[in-house]
Amino acid sequence: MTDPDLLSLQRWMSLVVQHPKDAQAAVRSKKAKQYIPTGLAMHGKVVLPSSRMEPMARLDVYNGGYLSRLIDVIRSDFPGLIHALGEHAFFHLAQDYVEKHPSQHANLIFFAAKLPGFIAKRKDLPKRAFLRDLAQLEWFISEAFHAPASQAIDPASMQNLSPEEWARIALHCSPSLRLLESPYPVNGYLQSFFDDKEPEFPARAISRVAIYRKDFRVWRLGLDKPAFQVLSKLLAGEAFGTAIECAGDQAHRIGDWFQDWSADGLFTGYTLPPDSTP
Amino acid sequence: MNLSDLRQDDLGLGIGLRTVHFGHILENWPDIDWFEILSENFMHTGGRPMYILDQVAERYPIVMHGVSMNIGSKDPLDLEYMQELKVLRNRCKARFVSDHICWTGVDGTNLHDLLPIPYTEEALKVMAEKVKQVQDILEAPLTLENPSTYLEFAHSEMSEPEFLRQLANETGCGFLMDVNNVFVCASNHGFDAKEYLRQVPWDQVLQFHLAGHSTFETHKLDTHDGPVCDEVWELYRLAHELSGGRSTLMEWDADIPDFDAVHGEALKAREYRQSMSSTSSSLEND
Ligand SMILES: [Fe+2]
Repeated sequence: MTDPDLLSLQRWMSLVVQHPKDAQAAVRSKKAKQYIPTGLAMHGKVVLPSSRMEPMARLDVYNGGYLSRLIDVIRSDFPGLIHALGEHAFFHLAQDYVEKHPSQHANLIFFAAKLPGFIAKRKDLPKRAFLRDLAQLEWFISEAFHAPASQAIDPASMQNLSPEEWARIALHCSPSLRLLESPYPVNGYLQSFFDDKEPEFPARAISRVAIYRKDFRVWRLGLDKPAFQVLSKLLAGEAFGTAIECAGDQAHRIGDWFQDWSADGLFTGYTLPPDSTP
Repeated sequence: MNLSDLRQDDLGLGIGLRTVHFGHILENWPDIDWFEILSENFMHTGGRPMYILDQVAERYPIVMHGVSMNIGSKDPLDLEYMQELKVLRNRCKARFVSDHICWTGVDGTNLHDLLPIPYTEEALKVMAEKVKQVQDILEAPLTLENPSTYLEFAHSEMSEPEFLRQLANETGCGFLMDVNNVFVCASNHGFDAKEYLRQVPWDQVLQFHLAGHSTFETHKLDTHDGPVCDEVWELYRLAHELSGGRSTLMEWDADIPDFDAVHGEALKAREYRQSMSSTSSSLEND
């Protein structure tokens, strides 16, 4: 056989690096044989032996590092999930995730983005709706940490808006703001975990939380239903007047909410669309 | 900025800008010549790391060192990555932008490892084209580091220094000579590290790396988790003589001790840099 071209060699080595078992299993696989015959790979025709290592052992240096490196990335983003699942189940989940969703980005910070959705499809996991939401919460924390920097709105800049203009404005939200509604108390669970209280799987109880970054720290703010609904509409870019309709009989709290959320840097500006009333 | 301007730019002794040292740096603004950043740690992120970097870059020269350019892959250059990289370079006014002579993935997958390339004419051509493209985007020379490798390909057609020489001829790129990586590779592949250094195209070398590694029964691994060993210091002495002196960085990326310990390890290089004048005159007399 002629020497492998660069593309075949790299596709072959990519399979070897990613194989869940080891290099030998990889070079024997059907996929790898498409690029390089097993015999050549095993007998030093592709990778040379060293004085102390056979070709497969040399390839295993790369194979062995791959899985642990990527699992460590997931590990650092999901401490609460690891607690909920236990180390053993977490490792298997993470291993499957690495196999099904190899990194497609130059930056590892995006690697675990699909983990909540991946958990949602895992029928073998007990309480997977809870686990999915817990993972989603932890992922939002990571996203908020990395979100672009932004400047909070100066409330003075809104002083001259008329009530009619207030109704029409669309507020710009902080790029770090994320909202999560769950049938489980995921935020309470995570806080208990952070407080070393070793929380158990919680019973169902709807919870709502806003996640955002202020002063380089990520904050989690529990919200009740009306506050959550108003903030969701604002985040979706709806007019202030439309958003506050969700408050229903809690409309009297809107002034306080706006003040608190502004102070927390949740709003960065606003757009006043032209008046379309005839 | 062309390569010969950059070559004159010996920044002295630097260390990597690492999260665990942020507090110390902000409180003390230590007396250190320069910092190297891991480019990807400051890309696609807008929080505290960028706030720190902006302040550090106001006070110290910065050099950027990346791991995801994938310059040796058959995949095309990731242009979105390159644009982000350039934005970061402009923001922190980095003196050099470096990556590795390696590939990190193919068909769009990133394996997040510095994988070895075969030293063949084909790989040279692929890499040279991409290096030229990078340099057009950056409007500056790219600097490439010799990696630590744990295998060699049977169909390689030339040595690593010869590959560097030909790549430089094709592209005019710069090199970052990691002395520890030379030592690790020499041990893993059974070549003479000093002989390797004598074959390096020194006119192209802009920077040195020093680091610690781990020794296993069968091979050495580039772990960056400890001080520099005596053999690597001796290689650095030779590299310094052969190059005439270049910006030098102490890499410490795992089990990172406090700032002063890492900086202290970098400052040991002074001894080897100062001893150059006497040794180089003796070399000339050889
Ligand atoms: Fe290095």
